[in-house]
Amino acid sequence: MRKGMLFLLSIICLMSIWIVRNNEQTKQGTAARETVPHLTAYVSAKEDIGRALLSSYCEQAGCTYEFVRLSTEELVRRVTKEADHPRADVIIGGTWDAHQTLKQRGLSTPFPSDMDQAELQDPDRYWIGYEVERLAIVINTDVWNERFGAAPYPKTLADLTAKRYQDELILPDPNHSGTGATILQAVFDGYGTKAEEVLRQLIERTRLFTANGFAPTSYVASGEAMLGVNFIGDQQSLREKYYPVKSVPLDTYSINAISKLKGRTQQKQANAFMRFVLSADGQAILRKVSFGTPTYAIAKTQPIQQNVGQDIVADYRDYLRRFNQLQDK
Amino acid sequence: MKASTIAYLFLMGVLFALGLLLLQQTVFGRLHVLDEPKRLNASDDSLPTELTLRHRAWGEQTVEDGTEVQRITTLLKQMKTVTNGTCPADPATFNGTLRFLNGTTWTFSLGESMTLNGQCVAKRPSTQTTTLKARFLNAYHEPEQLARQFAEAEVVTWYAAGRSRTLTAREREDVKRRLAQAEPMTDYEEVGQALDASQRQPRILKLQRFMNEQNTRANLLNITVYETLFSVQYMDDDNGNTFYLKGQLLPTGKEADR
Repeated sequence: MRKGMLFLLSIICLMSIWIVRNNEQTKQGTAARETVPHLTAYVSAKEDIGRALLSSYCEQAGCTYEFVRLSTEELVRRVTKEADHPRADVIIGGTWDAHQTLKQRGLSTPFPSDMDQAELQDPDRYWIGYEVERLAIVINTDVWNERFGAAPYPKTLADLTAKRYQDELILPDPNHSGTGATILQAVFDGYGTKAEEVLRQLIERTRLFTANGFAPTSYVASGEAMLGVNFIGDQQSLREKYYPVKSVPLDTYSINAISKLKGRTQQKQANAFMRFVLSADGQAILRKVSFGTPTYAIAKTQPIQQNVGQDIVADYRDYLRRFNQLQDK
Repeated sequence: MKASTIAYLFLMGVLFALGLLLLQQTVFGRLHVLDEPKRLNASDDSLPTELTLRHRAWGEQTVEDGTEVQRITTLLKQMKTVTNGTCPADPATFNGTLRFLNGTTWTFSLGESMTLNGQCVAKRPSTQTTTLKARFLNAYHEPEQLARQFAEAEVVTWYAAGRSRTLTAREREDVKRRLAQAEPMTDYEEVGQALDASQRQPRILKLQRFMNEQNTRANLLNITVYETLFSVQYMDDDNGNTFYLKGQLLPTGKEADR
């Protein structure tokens, strides 16, 4: 009888051990996958830039990555919406004012940077600039010569409000694009009491507001439009491809930045990634895939220094509201 | 304890173990196919099965990658909920059809505005329309597709060192063959090394699909040619994305400078 009991218990024990082992093997498989560091990024720069930086970093750090490309303003909206359950570890690209907004909303967290260029980063190091871009008017010289011959090119945003440019202008939409936001900021910073009138006329002349900062250059380079405004690096990229585009630089600079989000578990990995972006290796990659000026190459950026760290977010919300009111009219 | 009790307990133990084994083998880790038509038709969330795209310049392409079709479907479903009055009558760059498992189809056209199933869902460019356009253009990144587009382009201009010329028929045939044999590059370490190793200024091939349709972004495609790799950029990609392929597209050495 005792033998029978023991036999029965042995059978049950063996079956239990088999089931538990089977279950543990599955768990171990999952745990093994979880130990490989994984970085999730929202990218507001061009897709190639995000992919190049993340893949190069993960190649050497042995991590995996995924990213979603969003326009700057859309990115800010999404991160704000996900505040309670952030889904991305790092934000790559987007103009510094967007990163400043994330800081002010308590969505990002400081980065232990040892970069000494104070004018290219947040004083509290919530975001760090990795490249600097300058706004410029882009002109299709073939279309210009056909229409206006040897007439001088427009040199300022106010020059673009001339009636002869009606429906010739393509601008990025500040509701979606960081480049558009920079232009809007430049209008209000540069024209004081006349700013609203300049903006009203610019809106009137504009044939199309694009959702991306790059798009105005491609419209102008192809000849689909004569004039546009965006960052000079984008214009340079198509000039090198033999498109008839002329850049007229404006006195407005912006910084493209990186930051990391609060409430994520991969803080160490995010720090290491940000260090990589700012390192010689990271900046060399940027030099190949981006047409901005990497921050290590900047000696002095006086125009930026005037703005960085200021509370521009509240002002900007007002600018955007006024833009939308004028556009709706 | 009686022998019959032991036998009973033993039998129950064996049955219990067999039950667990059966459960393990038949339920867990199995794929269950729900294919009753009633169940499928009842759901608006039927599975997308096929996406066909028609670019006005670069022709038709079918998206076969299930994950990509699902991503695009998610974007379209987000847009479906928005109605925006009447779209301006601008020419569509993309027309497309999305087919679902339950037999329904969605049709859309995307230019500067977008219509979905006949409804205007975006009057002007938005983040969603530019994301969709970039995803649609991704579908054209295959070497065979590029080779076909190259063959169909009515004007191909070669730019190098400030000079330009059109390609001869023989050169075009050669480039088309090389395009079809190229390999997409996704390792940016490798891209970086290949770009570093490039000794000379890149040469540019500019493709114009229709000769009589100038000043149109959707009609233009740029290929930047380095020694061992080349990059491709559709001018109507609002993000300005480029993608890289491995291969020697144009001859090097003296022949290259003719």
